[in-house]
Amino acid sequence: MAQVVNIDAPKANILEVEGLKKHFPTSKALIPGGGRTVKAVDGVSFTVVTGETLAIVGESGCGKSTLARLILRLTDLTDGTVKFHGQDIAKLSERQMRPLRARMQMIFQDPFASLNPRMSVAEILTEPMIVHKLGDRRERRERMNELLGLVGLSPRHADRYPHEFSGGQRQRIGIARALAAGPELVIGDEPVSALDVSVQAQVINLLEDLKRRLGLTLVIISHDLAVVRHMSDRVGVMYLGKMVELAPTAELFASPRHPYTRALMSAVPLPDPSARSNRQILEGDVPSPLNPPSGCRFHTRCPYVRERCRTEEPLLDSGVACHFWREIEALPGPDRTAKPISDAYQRRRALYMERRVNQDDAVAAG
Amino acid sequence: MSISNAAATAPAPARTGWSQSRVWRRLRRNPTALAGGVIVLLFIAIAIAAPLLAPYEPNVSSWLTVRKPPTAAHWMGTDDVGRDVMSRLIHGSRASLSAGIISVAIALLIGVPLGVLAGYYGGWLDAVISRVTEAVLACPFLILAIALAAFLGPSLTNAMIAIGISAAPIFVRLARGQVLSVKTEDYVQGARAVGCSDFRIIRRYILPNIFPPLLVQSTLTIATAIIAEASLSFLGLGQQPPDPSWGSMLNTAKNFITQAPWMAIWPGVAIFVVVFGFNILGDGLRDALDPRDSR
Repeated sequence: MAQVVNIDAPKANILEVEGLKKHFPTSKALIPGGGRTVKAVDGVSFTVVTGETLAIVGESGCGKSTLARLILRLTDLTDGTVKFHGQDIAKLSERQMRPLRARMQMIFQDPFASLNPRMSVAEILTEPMIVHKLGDRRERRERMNELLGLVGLSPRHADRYPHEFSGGQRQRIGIARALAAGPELVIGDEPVSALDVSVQAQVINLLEDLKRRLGLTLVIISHDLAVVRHMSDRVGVMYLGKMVELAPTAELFASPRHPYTRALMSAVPLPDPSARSNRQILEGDVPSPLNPPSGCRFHTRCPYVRERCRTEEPLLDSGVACHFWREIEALPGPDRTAKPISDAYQRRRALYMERRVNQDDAVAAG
Repeated sequence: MSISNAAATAPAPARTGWSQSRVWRRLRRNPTALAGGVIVLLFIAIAIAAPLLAPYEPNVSSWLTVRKPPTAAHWMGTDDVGRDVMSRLIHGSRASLSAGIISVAIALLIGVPLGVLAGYYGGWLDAVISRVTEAVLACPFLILAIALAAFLGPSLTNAMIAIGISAAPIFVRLARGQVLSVKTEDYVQGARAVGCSDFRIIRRYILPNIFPPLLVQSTLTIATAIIAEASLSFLGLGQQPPDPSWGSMLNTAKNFITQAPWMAIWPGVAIFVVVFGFNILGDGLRDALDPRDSR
């Protein structure tokens, strides 16, 4: 069962999300609409180009996981449209949605919770093929072995149960399951954040490799800026249910425009003690999505706040949702252009890298 | 390299599902639970082999042996119409055990589907099922069973149905609660993302994962059901004379409690031991199936 990759097709939008909203009612209202609602996702729009990797970042509680579930229709949306290959899937019934599920898949955050403890790896991996009636028993078994190979496991793992694997291996099984029905779009909801740092690297490399080999489009939800910078082509920054900035990765990291993105970037730890002076620390907590601030949602914590921000909500325009981004951009931001690296530091770093490689080899061998 | 090849080609040990083997390992280390299991198996064996084990016909009376105390010929004595108490006790185990097991099976068949539907779909379906369940639970178990048995008419089968219906609400509530916690698990979300139908999700993802607590509750409810059957038979609503059951034996024995106490003692002991066996087996199973306790 080969992956269908249409190379001749122009780079079309595989996913178009417009005005996506998800409001969770918190208390039952006597009058419809009278209850309080949590606006987890409140009017998010973006597109995903076929073949790219789009990252969605933001702190916990900003609605990024809800966004992932909305796109896959694991949660019903309140308003907005989600177009997959131009077809609006927001209002499809569960039954109409089912055939599309083979083409869009999800990788979950917690590899210990995302696999059914009572199914063997073979059952977990053949499940999507059985559901979508792909191949006969023998073909499914072959495909399963192929999938295990793709994610770096061996066919002899097939009859084991999830609890017999490590976190990294389980996440590989989760990835293999996501690939089983041959999807075009894979959404990773914090696919590596539950893993050990050394295993994170393996899984990230695996995802990138699979993306290249199978021609996948990835949407990666993450709060880890290092992961995002490494993997993605474009980055969307979310704050309190809104997309505040959407830009190509290199641009976003080089010159963040939204004040929130600037603060986020300055929070990335630098491996250079002399460059740590410019950290911009945000005051206060994220406001409750139960009662979001008026105007720009970031105005309660923004260091550049003005009167207009309190009343008028900025729209995402040319990749940033801020009234004054042009002025702010001119201000000295967190200085991410590293100073010339001293010779002594370079020597120390070379030594460290060498030791590190040796250590990795030792771990790999052992 | 050769080592790993050998390992790869060596026949894999037969796996019967991790849960069974792990549960068995942990159960084996729990002598109390094992004792419970042995008691239960012993009584089941007695019930199956009753005609072979019983020294006399359970329903044949004799004027020569009315209310005789235990002797070498009648180890547990004889009853008011001269029937061998031991033979009746052995044959009576059939009524008691089958009442316990079949009525719990009925309770599971009614309770689990309703509980799963209520928990999985929620909404008005849940509201209706839950309210009805609570209404039924408001009646004391035994009173309800007696009322239902009286309504259906006195027979062992009707007693089983009555007990099964009365015990069903426990399973509705347990299954519903378990489904509510299991259905938010990522693997259920994953199954939906893969495109599984609701029926498939319930069958392959929900039911296997709510099975352990249901199994524990079943063993405990079997004990309750055996007592309920004895109570109904004691009241004349269960096993009908002359066929023996432990409850109906107690019922007749109560009239001769001072003259022939052996008539009451043995069925009483039998009920106590088998209920005790099911209870400690259930407790042991609960400990062995609890994933939080990783001994």
